[in-house]
Amino acid sequence: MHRNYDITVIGGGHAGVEAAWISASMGAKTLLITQTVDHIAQMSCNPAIGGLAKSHLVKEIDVMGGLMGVAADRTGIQFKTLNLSKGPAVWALRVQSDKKEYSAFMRSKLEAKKNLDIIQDEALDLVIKNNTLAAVKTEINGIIHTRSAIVCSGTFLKAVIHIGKKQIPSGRLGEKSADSLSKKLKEHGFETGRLKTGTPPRVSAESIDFKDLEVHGSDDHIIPFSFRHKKAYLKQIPCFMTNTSEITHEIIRQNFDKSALFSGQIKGTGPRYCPSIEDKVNRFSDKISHRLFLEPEGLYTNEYYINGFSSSLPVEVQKKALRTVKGLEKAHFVRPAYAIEYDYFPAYQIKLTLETRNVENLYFAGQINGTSGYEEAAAQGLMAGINAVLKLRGEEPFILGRNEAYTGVLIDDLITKDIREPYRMFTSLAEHRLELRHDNADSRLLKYSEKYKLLTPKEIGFLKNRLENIHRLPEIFASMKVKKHRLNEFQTTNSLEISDEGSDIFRLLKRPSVSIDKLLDSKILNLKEEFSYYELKQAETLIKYEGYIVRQKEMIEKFEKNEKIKLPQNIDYKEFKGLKKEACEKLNRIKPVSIGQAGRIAGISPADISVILINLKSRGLI
Amino acid sequence: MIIAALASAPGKAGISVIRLSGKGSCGILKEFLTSARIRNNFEYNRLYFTKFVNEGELIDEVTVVFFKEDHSYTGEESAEIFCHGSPLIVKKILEALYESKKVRKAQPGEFTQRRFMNGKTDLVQAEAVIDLINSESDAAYTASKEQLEGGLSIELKKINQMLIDLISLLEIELDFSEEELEFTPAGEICDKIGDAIEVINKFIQGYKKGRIYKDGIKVVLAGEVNVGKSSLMNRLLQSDRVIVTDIAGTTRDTIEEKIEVHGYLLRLFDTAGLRETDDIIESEGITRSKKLLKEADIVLQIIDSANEASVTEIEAENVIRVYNKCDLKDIPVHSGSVKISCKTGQGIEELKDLMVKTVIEENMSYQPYYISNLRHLNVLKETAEKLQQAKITVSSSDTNEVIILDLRQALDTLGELTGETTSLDIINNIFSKFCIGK
Repeated sequence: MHRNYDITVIGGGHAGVEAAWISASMGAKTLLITQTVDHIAQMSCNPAIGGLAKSHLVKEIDVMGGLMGVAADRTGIQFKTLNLSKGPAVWALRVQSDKKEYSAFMRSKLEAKKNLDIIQDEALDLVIKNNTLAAVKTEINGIIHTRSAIVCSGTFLKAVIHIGKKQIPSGRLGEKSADSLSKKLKEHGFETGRLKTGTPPRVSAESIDFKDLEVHGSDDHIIPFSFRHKKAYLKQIPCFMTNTSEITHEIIRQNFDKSALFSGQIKGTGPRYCPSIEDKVNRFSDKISHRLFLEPEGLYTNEYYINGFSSSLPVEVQKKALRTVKGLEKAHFVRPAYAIEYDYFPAYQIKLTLETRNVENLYFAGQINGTSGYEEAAAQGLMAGINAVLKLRGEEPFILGRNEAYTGVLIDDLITKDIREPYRMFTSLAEHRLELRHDNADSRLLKYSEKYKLLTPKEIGFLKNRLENIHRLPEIFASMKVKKHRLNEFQTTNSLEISDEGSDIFRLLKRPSVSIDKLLDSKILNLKEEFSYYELKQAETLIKYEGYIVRQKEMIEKFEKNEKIKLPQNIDYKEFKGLKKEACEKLNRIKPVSIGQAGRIAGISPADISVILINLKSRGLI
Repeated sequence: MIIAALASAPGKAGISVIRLSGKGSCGILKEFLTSARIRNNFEYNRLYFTKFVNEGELIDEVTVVFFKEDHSYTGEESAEIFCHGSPLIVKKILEALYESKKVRKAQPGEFTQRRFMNGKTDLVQAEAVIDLINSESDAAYTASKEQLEGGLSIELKKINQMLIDLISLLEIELDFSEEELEFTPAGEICDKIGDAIEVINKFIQGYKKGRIYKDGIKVVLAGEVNVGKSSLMNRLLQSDRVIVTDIAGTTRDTIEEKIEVHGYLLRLFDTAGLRETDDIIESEGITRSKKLLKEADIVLQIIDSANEASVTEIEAENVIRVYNKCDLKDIPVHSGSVKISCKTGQGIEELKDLMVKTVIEENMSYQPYYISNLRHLNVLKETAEKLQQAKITVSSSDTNEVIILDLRQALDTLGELTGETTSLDIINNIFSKFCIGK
């Protein structure tokens, strides 16, 4: 082992894996420190990658040289496109992955990576000199000198697991909490908060009666996450759905007092979008039933993940309640549901590069910044990794705008919004959603992958060619005339009115009832030789969405105006006349980079913005 | 920097008020006052009678009051001086203050600007202050005051909330389509958009009333030459403001005067009589008359009762036919018309009533708050347009993310009046209303 690294990544979860991978890919001498090498990229909660809005992040990670999409595809045992009845901007892919395989795949990728060392150890403290990171102090290996460090600690900082009245100091069931690092970071001047999250029980397959449960299988036509893949690699197996009943709710209600959540034992704030079952029963008492999904944890395990039943109730109560649910009457609990509380560092303490404001060359990524979810963590890990390398090279930082990527929305929200619960990505958080589709991540981000060499030249060549094809297609479609007699049958089945001179593919695709699939099926269109199915689908989206994309672009232009008014970083807002004290404190803490970002800070009103503008003007700064 | 200026109307008056604002205002003012009580230890929000002295010279006996930042108009430390209302005294006091080098002359609107910058008022309210100062009638005063008290801001925020609720309903289907939630049918969404448009339209319609309160009712006196337009003008003004002769075409230019009737401001425009003419000045006057007719809230078409048969129709919104010289020839008139005599004053009060009734009661239902500012009108019009677009999108059965694009544009536009709404507000709204989480 070297004693000198360019970048040291602390934590081998979803953020740490991407950070270490990209940093090594960019040529930095990288070290990954993890408490347990066997648990690299462990899926601590549900066995799935993607989902609404999260799949957008995975696609972006994939185009920017990250691993998550590749790993999910390679280990996917169910692929499902969500929101297909809605427009392409909100389509999303969710892949159920084999948990063990996912972790093993990631581990093998990292182990084979040039420039990357992995050690099993625990980071206890950071050595900081002149507000700059100098080294990481570990339990076993002692002082490790490093030019930068990226902390991706997940739920492990001062973590406590709650099961009923039982409290176990632990970062994941059966694993050690990292108490020292959190304490030391506080001593170094960082502010912390407490967050809570939870996970449902795992039940063994042979104890579940599947025969009356609703089956949810894979898509017929699988389009994987990564642009490198065309198919699934593992056997596809289904998920199942069942429902809680009033009897379930009654048992839970009778035991409210035993829930760690209600007894006041848990102080941290949990996510509202992912409430525990007792929370659901309590807050929505008029609901007579809640859905539960039974998701396989893998091909070679019989554990099932009971999605929708996370809880901090005592195990006996969990069992009693779950066994009132259809199909789970004899459920055998392999692992109980539990709630976990952990330290996070409110993200006003980091910059848009994810570097901390207090300590130079120290970066935070993932749950430490108050997010939840594998995808949110991975996106941050990737961005922190890239920026850490760029900084060491003395290059300009890489910051994605809200109008460019969900990753950009995520990081900007973390810093500007006063996040008090675990932050999850939603499509409604992206105001330029129609432009930020999960299927066009390549057209949005390829320029950066090329600039920072995040992909191989061959991969870039492939994507460029694909984009060219997609953009050529609308014109090609317009030139493909279709005679009226060829459309006779098609016209009737799709209730179209076609004039006597016939039509062309472009005009046909503009009709709401016509799709590429229908044109291909009816043999009106035959282009599968020259263009891939993916390219045809993309072109279809461009044609169908054209008008809206134009309007979205207008909104983006308006948005960019305020983003372009840059704010000096060395300014003291206390000197600004007329600024309220609270506004002043927030601005000084966050130091927004632009008027646009300042306006998004929670608690900064349009009136404050006017005051800033007036002050900037009077100082001749704009 | 401390600013100071005359806060009351310029010119001679019983009392004039000088205002100082900015950190240190009280300290500076104290230096010019003789009262030992003030110099030693003054109290805020309390009137003191004292003498204002500059370099040994007594300028005036004055009353002063000091304000702490949280109790002042501008939101910063300030003071007010009540002196005798002589322009010379005011000048001397202000010069004394400016000479101290710690005080400078306030720019027009600067006190209100500081108030705005100190967060004591929002933009809509700040605009209302300007309107309040400029109000020329009771009605305008009330309108601006209601706006100032935030009434309008509150109403606009209600519309804002309507849009947020609407967007939330649609967003929930996109972000939580896997949840067991009941989604809102398109028809209901359409109705809700319709509701929002209706509220906005009320404000847009109310603009006319708002404008009338603020700017007054524009009354144009029109008619053929020598029917007595200028005589009527003088009669309404109760003065000999306009030259009246027997010569046709005496009035060549447009003359504007104001009167108050039942609390409303009426702006009267006497115009050149309409006829064919070779006179360049008179024909320019006629062109102006025609333009005025288009902008008028009310057109008084003055008709000589003796020549009533030869009257031509005037095309304008509210035309009141006024049959003059009824003392010479009394003819029967329809309702909505009135017969008067400028000579005797007969029918003048009836005409005044009719004018106010025509504009105020015909067009406007009661509304507690209304807009009187053109910027507000334009923002609301644009918001309504975007909502109309959203309605079309809904009925052409487009999917939610496209409908939301329209609604967000509407919300963005409205945000120019009410302040930004962030995406997080929408998410929070969803969480507060629905059971999320599978």
